[in-house]
Amino acid sequence: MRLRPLNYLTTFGVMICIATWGVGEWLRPSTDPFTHELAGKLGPFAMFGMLIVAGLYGLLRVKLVHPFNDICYMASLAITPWEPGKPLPFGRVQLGWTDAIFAALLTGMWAAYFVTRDVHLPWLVWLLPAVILFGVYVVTLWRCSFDVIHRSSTRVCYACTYLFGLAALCAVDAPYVTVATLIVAYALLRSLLGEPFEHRLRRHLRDTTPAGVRFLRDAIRDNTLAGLHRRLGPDTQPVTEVEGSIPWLIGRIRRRWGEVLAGLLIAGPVVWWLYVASVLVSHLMPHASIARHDESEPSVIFLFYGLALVAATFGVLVIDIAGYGSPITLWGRLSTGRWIIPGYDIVYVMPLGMLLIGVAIPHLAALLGLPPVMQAAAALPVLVTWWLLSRRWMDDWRFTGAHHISTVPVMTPDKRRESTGRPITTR
Amino acid sequence: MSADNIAIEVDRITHHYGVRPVLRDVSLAVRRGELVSVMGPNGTGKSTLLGLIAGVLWPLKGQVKVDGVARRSSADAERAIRRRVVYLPADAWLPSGTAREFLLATGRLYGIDDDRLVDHVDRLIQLFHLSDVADSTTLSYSTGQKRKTALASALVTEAPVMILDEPFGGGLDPSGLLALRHVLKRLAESERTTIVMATPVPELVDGLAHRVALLHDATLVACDTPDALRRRAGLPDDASLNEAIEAITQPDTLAHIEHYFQRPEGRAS
Repeated sequence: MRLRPLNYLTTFGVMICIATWGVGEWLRPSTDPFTHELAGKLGPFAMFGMLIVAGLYGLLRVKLVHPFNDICYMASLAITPWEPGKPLPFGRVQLGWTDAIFAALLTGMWAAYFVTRDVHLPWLVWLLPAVILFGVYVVTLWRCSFDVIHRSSTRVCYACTYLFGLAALCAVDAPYVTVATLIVAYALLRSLLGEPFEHRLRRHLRDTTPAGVRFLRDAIRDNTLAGLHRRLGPDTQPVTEVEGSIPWLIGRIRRRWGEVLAGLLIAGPVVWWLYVASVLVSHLMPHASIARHDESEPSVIFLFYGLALVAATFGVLVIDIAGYGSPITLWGRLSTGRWIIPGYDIVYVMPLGMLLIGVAIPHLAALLGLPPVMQAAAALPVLVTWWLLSRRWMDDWRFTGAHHISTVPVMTPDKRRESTGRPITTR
Repeated sequence: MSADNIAIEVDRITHHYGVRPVLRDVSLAVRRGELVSVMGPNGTGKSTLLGLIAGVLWPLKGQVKVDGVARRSSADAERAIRRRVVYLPADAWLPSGTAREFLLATGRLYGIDDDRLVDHVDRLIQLFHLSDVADSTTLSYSTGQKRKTALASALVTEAPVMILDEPFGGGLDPSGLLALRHVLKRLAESERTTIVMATPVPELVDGLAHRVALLHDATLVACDTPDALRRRAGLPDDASLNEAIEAITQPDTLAHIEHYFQRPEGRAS
């Protein structure tokens, strides 16, 4: 059974919720989770749990306009010259009025919580709004990052991420919220600045007078319109292979160096945030095992790490196979003796490798006597690099693999009837 | 047939989704500027053949070449082929934006020059009588308007190879049918656009397609001009193409009709 994207997201969300509940119970086995007393004690920890859930919300918001959310959209793109990495023809995440209402309402509720901390409001009053507030934050920051990246200032992105982590580390309560609010405000401002161009585009698309058509034509030529056209970039330059074995090897390494460097740079903030989370957890919850460094219990870090690894592996697999089906059904494979189709089954190698790397490297680091945080930290750059390398391979696979692009269901009722006939030998 | 002049070459393709083959050892060559219609009874693999040519499906045996290059042989080759080939499925997907936005975005995907693109979109909207709805969301379109928009999206790409699955279906009105027939004929004759289409209605193909490829029982039983198919069926030149196709693929159709109207003895008429 192929898991549909929304089913996948729902499953993933439920998984995270159960895991968060489990962690809460693990940390506080003797506490009734529905008492007001817990609100004060679970608050700071829940902030980080919420950040994870908020990430999922952000992911869902992003996916609403992403082909991954719509198999038909993805398949339609797959049969055109579009390719992964090129801008999407129907734009990116757009902020709507609902976002503004959420942001205003929830910022107020957050403020009320911090002003009236002594009152001990029921935890649901601020937990749910906080999740959505962080979601808006993640989405807007995501979009802001895109803008910055498109201006070839990736260093600004990384600096923001590190500085934000540093701020979070230094300031646990109110200053943390202040920094977060400032970044949200900046991201919102950047996002909203792009909006008027969209309105201009829509207005002039309806303007069929000669002047309107002339404006549209000039705007498209000058690439000044946002959204629909600005994100349509030039074709990717074909890669030229270097002849000879040694130069070929050097060429391959040079071509892959970008992924390795990006892997290190992306893993850096992740490791940094892992460290920040561990310090905050040990500062706010001294009873947690990470603070005690108790060898007899698994660390909170590894709980987060394990969950993230399984989720990432599952996510990579779903993303890779969504819309790209096997050329033959399982029954067909078994009946015709085509148990393995290398051109298609390579899609399973990448997530499997991710899982193996994610398990093997922390074990090796543990053998070297590194602390838990460093064990996870050692695996992350390799994992991210592997994932980035696999993106290049998978991008090629989408052009050359033995798959069916799912524009229509492969097994229509007619086909299902046909498949029950006599077996053939075509090997 | 000169190799340089061949736009599409289907080389001994066998394909099956489950166990039973949908196509068996099918070979076909289509010249540049040729309009070939794939026909045959329901479930004989017309859409599958078009999907394989379009690169949506991967054949379990055999290969498809476009302009002499095998599909999916390398990423760069496949990219180059996708720039030259447009595929319109029978149930083409439409986004929720407006038709004009969709057509502009599709044209840009195929790298059409912006000045030409804006003009072309305007002309297509006029051609298919979509002016009143072109700037409304496609969610409000009728079935026929959706089909016209989808057809326009294939035409706006200006691709030299067009693979169209049932282009005349989907609720097109008479003016849409007429416009499409003339456009396809002109594209093939004047622009040397290679067109392969599947359609179940022989009347729409007669006088339009240069050749008709007949599929039956997962094999290609004939690929020839309509007149040659009539001769092969032993019919006069003024016989309908439908009769010729039925005589070749399903000669028992007329007998089945007679059988249907035969009433058992003793039953009141």
